[in-house]
Amino acid sequence: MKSIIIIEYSMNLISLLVFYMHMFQLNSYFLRKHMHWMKKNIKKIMIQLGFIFISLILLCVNHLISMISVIIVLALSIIYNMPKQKAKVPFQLTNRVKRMFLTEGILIGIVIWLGGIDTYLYIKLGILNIFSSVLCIIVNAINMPIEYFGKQRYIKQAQKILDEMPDLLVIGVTGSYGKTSVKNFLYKILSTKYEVLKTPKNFNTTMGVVKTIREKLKPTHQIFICEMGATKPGDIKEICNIVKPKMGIITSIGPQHLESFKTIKNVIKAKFELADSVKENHGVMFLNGNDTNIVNAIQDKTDINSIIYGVEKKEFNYNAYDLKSSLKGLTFKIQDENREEIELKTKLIGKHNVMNITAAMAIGNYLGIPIKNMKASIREIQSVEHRLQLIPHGNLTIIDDSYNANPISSKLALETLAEFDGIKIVVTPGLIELGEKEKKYNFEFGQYITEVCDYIFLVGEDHSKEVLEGIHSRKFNKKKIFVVRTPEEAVKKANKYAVKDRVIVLLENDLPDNYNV
Amino acid sequence: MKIKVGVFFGGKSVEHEVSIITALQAIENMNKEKYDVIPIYIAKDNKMYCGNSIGDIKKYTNLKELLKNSTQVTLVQKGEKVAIIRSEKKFYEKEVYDYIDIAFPIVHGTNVEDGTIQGYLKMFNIPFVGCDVISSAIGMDKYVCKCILKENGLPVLDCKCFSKKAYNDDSKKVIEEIENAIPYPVIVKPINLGSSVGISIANDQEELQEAIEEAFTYAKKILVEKAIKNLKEVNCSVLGDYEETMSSECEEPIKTDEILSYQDKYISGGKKMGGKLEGSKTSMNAGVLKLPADISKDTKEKIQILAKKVFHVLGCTGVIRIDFMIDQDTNKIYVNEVNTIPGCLSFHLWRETNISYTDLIDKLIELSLKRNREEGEITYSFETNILEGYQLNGSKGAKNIK
Repeated sequence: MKSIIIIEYSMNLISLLVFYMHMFQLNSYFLRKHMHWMKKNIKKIMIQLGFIFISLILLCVNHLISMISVIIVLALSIIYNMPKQKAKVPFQLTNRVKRMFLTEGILIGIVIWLGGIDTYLYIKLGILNIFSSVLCIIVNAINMPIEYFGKQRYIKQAQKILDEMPDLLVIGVTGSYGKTSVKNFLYKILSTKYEVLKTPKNFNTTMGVVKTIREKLKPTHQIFICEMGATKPGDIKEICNIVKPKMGIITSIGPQHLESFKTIKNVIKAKFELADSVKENHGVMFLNGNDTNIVNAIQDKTDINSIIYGVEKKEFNYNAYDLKSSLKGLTFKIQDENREEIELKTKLIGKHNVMNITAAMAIGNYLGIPIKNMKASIREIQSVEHRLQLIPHGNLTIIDDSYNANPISSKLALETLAEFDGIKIVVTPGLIELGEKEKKYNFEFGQYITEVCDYIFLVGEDHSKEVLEGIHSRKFNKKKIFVVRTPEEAVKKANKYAVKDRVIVLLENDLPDNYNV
Repeated sequence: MKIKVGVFFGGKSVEHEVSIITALQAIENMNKEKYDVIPIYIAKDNKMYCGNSIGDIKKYTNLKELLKNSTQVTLVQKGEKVAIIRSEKKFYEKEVYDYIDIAFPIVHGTNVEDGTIQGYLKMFNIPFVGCDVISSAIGMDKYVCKCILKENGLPVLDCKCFSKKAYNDDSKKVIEEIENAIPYPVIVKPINLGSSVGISIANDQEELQEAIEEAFTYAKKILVEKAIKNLKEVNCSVLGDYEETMSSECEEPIKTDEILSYQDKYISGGKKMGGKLEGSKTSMNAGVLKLPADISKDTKEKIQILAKKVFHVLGCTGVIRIDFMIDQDTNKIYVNEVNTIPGCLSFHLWRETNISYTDLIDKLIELSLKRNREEGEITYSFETNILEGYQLNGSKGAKNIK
C-alpha cells in the first residue's frame, strides 16, 4: 500500500516539476515575470496544492480506508497535472534545464536521505510535492554562478571569433516591433551584394546572438545583422558590448514588456543603448521618423549621426509615399537622399511594413546598392509568419497578426484592416504583458475595434474582459460580438459570412501557454 | 579567420593528370593571406585523400607511396559546417580532419567535370566554384551541347550522332548514313571527352571505320561532323555569371597533326613545364599556341561576343573556355566545344586581358558565394513544411492552438 503511495507521490512530483520548469522557461527564467505569472494563476496552484494537503491529512489517520482515499486523491492529482493539450511552445530540454533538473534531483535526494531513507518517506515526498512550485526558483538561484560562468565562457568564445574577423560589419536591429521584419528585409536586400548572416528566427537575446556567432558565422561573411531584443534595461548594451555594431536601426518604440520596464521612458532608454554603442564605434544610426517616441528622444541626442526614414514626410532622408493597398499587396513610391524616385510593389500589407521596407532600403543604399536595383528584392519579400501575414482563402482573407501584439502594432493592424473593402472581422484574446496599464490599453483597443470592425470575436473570457468593456463603451451592437474558445472556432464562424460577401479576418494576438492554463 | 577553400582534383577520368597539374598550379596562385587552402586529391578509383604531400606535385611520381602517406577522407555536414572527416580513423586520431567553407573543383573530363562533382558538392549546401550541375553536364555532352546552341541560333557544324549499339547492330547502315549526310573528310569524336582524346579524321570509308571504332573505345556514343579543310582554331574564355560576363583575349592553338591532339595539348607542353612548375607562371601548353590569336580585330570581336552568348545560353558560372573553328575558305566561325573547367583555368588568356591569376581566383570564389546565396534565397520560401498542415486553422503554426 505504502509503496503505491510513494510511487504516486513521485509521479505527481515529477509532473509538477516538469510543469513548473516549462512555465519558468516560458517566463524566460525571469523571477519577477514568473512571480507575476504565479499570482495570476494562483487558482490552479491552489488546486494542485489542495490535492497534496488532503492526501497528507488523510495520511495522519492510519486506517485502511484513509489509505485507499490517499491513493485515489493522488491518482486524481496525477490526472489533473497531466498535460491536457499540446503546448504551443513545447518544453525545451536545454542544457540549462538539464542542469536545473540535476540540482533538483540532488536537493530531493538530500531531503529523502535526511534521518534515514525509510523514515516517513511518503511524508517527505508529500512535503516535496508542496514545495514543487518554488523548487525551480530555488534551484535557479543555486545554479546562478554556474550559469554565469558558462555564459561568460560562451561570450568569450564568440568575442574571439569576432576579433578574428575585423572586417565584419555588424548591423544592430532593435525596436518594440518590426525588428524581425526589418532584419529579414535587410537580409534580402544586402544579400544581392554581400555575404550576410542574420540571427535566425527571433534569437535576439545575448545568448541567442552568441549561439549564432559560435555556430553560424563563417569567414566568408561580410555583414552580420544582429537582432537585439530587450526585456529589461541593459540587455541591448550587453549584446552591443560583444558585437560592437557600426550601424544600427531602431524600428519603433512602444509600450512593451512594461512589467519589467515599468515606464515608456525606460523602454526608450533601453533601445537607445544601441545608438550609444554605435556612436562609440563611430557608426551611423537609422531611425524611424514616424515614431513619436524616437523623434522626441533624438531632440536631446543631437550628437547621434543619424539617417531618418519613414512614410509621407518630405524632409526624411528616405521617404515612402503614394501608398496604395489592395488584397494583393501594396504599391508605393520611394525617394532616396538624392531625391531619386522609384515605384515599388510588394506582397506585404500595412503602412508599417512600408516603413520597415524603407528602413531596409535606406541601409542597403547606404552600403552601396542603388535603390533601383532593389525592385526585385522588394517584390519577392515574404511576410514574416504571423506578422500581418496575408493568407487568401477565396472569398475569405485572413490577416494573421497573431505574433505578440502590443498597443501600437494592434492599432496599426486595425488601420490596415480598415483600408480593405468587405466585411471586417477581428479575432482577438486581448493584449498581455503591459504591466499596470494593461487594463487601459485593452479598453482602448476595444474602442479602436469598434471603429473598424463589423463583427468581433473574443477568444476566451479572461483576458478579453477589458476589451469588451471598451467595446461596450462605444455602444457597439451586442449581437455582433461573440465569445469563442479558440481562434479556429472564430474563423469557422467567420467563414459563413464569406458565402455572399468578401470577408477579411484579422487575427490579432495569440496567447502563449503560460497565459492559457 | 581565413576562408577555408577545399580544392578537389583528379578523379576517374582520362584527364586525371592534367587536372592535378591545373589544380596544383591554381593553389600556388591563391592569395594565402585570404585563403587557407586544403588540397583534396580524388584518386582514379574516386576515393578522396588529404595530407601534407597531396599538394606537392613531385610526390605524384610515386602515387602508391603518396597515398600510403595520406589520409583517405570524405565530406560530412557537421552542424552548419562541412567537415572533411577521416574515412578510416585510427583510435588516437580525431575524426574531423578539417573544415571547408568553399569547394573549388578543378577536375577535367567525364565522371567528374560533367556535373558529377558539382552534384556531390551541392548535396552539402556548400558554395562551389564554377558551373552548376546542368551547365557542366551539357558542356560535357558534345551532342546535347550542339543541339542547345543550334536551337538558340548559334553557329555549329551539322553532325550525326550514333550509339555503340546502332553501330554493332548494323555498321554498314551507320556508315551509309554518314556518307549520305556529310562529305569526306569527316571528323569522328567520342561524345563526352575533352582534350582531343579519341578524336580522328577520316578521308575515306576505311579510315572512317577505324575512326569510329577508335572513338567507341572511349564512349558509348560518337559524333561525326564535317572536317574543315582550311581550319583555324581559336579559343576564348568567358568569366562571370548570368548577370555580368566578360570575355578574354583569344588564343590560337597550333596543330602539329591535322587536329590538335592530346599529345600537343598537354604532353608536349607538360614535359617542358614539368620541371619548372613550382614558381612558374607559364601556361602548361605555352609551347604550342599563339597568344593573342592571329586573327583580324573584327573576327576577334565576333568571337568574343559569340563566346558570351554561349556562356549565357548554357547558364554557366565562373570561368569557361569555348573552342571555335574558323573555316578560312568561307570565313565562317563555328562553336566547336565548351570546357566548363578549362585546363589551367585559362589563366594565360586572362593574364593577357590584364587579370592576374590571383585576381581570377578571387573573382571565381566571389561568384561561387554569390550563386550559393542566391540559391539559398530561392529555397528560403519553402522553409515551412507543407506537410505540417493546412494553415486555415492555425494561427501560430508550430504552436498548435489550444
